[in-house]
Amino acid sequence: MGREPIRFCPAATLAYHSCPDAVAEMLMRIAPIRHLLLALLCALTLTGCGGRETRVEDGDREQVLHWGNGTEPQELDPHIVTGIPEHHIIIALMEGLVLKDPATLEPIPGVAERWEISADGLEYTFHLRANARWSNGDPVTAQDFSWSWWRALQPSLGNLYAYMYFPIKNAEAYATGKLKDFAQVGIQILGERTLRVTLANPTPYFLQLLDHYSMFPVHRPTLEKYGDPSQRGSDWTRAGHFVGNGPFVLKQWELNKIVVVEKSPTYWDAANVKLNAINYYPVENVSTEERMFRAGQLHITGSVPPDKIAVYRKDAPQFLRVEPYLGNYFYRFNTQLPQLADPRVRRALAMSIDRQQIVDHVTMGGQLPAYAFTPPDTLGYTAPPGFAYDPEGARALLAAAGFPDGAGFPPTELLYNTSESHRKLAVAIQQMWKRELNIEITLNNQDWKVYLDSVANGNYQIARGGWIGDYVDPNSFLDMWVTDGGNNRTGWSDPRYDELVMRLAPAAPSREQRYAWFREAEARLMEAMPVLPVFYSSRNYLVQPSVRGLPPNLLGYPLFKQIHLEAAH
Amino acid sequence: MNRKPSLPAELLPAELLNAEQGVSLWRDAWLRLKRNPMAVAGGAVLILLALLAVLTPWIAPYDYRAQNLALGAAPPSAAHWFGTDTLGRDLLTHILWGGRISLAVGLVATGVALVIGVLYGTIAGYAGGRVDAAMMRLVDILYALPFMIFIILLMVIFGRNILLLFLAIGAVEWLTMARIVRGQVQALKQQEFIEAAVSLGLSRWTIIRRHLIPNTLGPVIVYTTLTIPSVMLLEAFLSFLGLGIQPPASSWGLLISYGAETMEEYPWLLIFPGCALSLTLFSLNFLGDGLRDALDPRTAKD
Repeated sequence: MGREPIRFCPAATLAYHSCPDAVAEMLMRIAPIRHLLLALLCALTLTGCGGRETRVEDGDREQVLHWGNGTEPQELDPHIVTGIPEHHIIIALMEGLVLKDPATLEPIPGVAERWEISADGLEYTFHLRANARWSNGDPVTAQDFSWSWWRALQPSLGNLYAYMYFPIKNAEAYATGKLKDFAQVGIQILGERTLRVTLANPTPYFLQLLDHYSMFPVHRPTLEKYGDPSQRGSDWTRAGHFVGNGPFVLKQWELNKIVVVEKSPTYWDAANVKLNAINYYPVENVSTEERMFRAGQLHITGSVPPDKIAVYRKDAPQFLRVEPYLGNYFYRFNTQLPQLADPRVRRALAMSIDRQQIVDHVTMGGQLPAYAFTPPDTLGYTAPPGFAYDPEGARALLAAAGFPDGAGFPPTELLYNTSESHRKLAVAIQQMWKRELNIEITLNNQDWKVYLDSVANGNYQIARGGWIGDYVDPNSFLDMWVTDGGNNRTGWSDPRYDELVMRLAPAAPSREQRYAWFREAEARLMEAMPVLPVFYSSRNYLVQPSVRGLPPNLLGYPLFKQIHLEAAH
Repeated sequence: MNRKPSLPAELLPAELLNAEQGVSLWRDAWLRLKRNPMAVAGGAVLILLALLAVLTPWIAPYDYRAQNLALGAAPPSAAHWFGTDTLGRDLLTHILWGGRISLAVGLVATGVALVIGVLYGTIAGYAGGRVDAAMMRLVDILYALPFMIFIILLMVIFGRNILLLFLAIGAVEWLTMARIVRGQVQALKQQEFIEAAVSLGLSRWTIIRRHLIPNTLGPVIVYTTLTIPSVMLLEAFLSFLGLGIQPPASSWGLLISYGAETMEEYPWLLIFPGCALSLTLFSLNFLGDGLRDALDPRTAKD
């Protein structure tokens, strides 16, 4: 669930009050600016309608949750996707061995009703519950997990999250093709409902990984029916084909319109599932989403436009939720570029940004200024600040690097994915760099997919990024910067950093020692500054008061089977 | 006109007649335009806006980059007449600077569209037959291309360059102009005065230049006044996609699109740029209306 898109488009759509759904949806779709006047006209003529029951009121009665899901899911195959919108749908359709308690994030039983961990922390034995069923009635067995994990590790599948398996003994060697025999990977079937997993090193966060969709089981006969399971492009995830083992089944998937899931009768805990259905809407523009929420069309949004936060705080605090979020916002440097190759330049750029001003006046949603990469107190780990706001020092560093008062610094481009909030922040930082360092930064925005491609190919100079932890452990933030790591993309490489994060920390004898290695690694990261942290995220979103069973947590993780709707009367 | 001295003493009667007619047509038009108060007001406002745009670097009250994050979006006040945006930047300054871009894109892109469209349409309409068919099929084909994709391709291939943006927009806006002009010319070329010109032995190019183009001016001017606002909005859309103007530079279209996002909290961010654009468009329309009335030979007989 790493990447967060927060997409946005210029739609200035103006659906007010509770207009009929069809009209509001039509307005929502009038995107380009040249239709602004038309949309305004429509809105003016339609403001009078109302009085009909809203989608939310109807949903409260029927136990149908209307969920603003940000963007169209890339896929619904748990071994292919990487995003958060996909996560919200897949966790309703499928279930791993272990779930997380949404209030505490402690592991709670999922498909496995209990498990034992050996004293050395290397062997996990899972006992699957007898009544775990696929949505077509087949039992969920240990073979299902073993086969699914074999599939997820096939190099031909191109699973970007294959590294989630690497704590398992020999999984890395198998996924990279060094080992051909899957039997040597630490996954053992001890019986129809007993599975043993052997790890390479004691991994304190291993149980948390089991709740990540990359480790979910898939239904073998279905996958084999609709194509080669080890290849992409199969259509087994279409509505009607999809077979899952979660509390809901896929009912409908209309591109760019809606994904509908309905309560599954075969789910082992169906008696405790209170929702009858969840409707996911791919609303990309945060302003549109907020208007839909106000018009009673959504129970919950993905975010709130920054300028609306203060308004909600003042006028309607019962809808607004501001919660800590285990994530950060940063700028990547392309360290291969001549003017950015010198760490002193990168540090100068980092030190000249007034982060307090940014979180107070630009993002305004309870974010924290970031002076290191890993969010503070991630499972008890807090990195020491790697630098401070120091324009004087920044100028000195830049001068030492050969650009006194910015002289001779070539025009450099800052890339972000098209979104009002990214633009606003980029403009503010552009001006801070101009003021403090006297250097010219130009801005460029690209569509989400083009932007991902540019960053992946190193086709950028400075690029914004965001990262939400996949699990609560500093490792989720630090292992992305190892040499040639899938999410590094800065061209930065430090053998000592690799050694600390990949070799020393996983095998550390104690938590203190492990965190000490991490601190050393993070200090090196901040010293070289291939990535410039801006702020630690916070999660701002809107929820209707009728939604119950959605406690706040660091990962923004909902447990759908606990959610129910209670209309306020 | 400057050819006159080089002409032989025994001027062709038609040539002389045309020259006189042309002069009186324009003078006539000018007199009639002056009597139309709305058109004069429109023209005056446009000249004022153009002056403001030219003088912006000297008269803008603030540096357009200067931001005051702590101030944020503030309503109009004595220090900031039009208020400030969400980064605490003076809105008046941004409207002035944005006006430069918006007026320039409006004029340049429309000018490009006008020149290509009028020439192309006149030639096609006057030539007729196979030439016409071939030329108009080309227009049909270009019409069928999604023009946004065409512009985006141009920008991606040639890089983000503001002049290129102007030309690219102009290059897709001429199609309708060409069709309108061709239709006009086809109707005109059946009329007696063209037959007269032909029978007097005028060259094709002279007929096009002296007789056809002036007679198509009415619809052309009306369509031009409609094209200018649409290219301004197109520029805003392209800029939002990252293909046009990039911050901190701005344009009216961009200011409006950002203002619309926060219109409930900070209405002035939408109202002032909206007024600037509306004022320009109204002025253009009144001036266009006046020009059409003034230039239409048929109304001259009233």
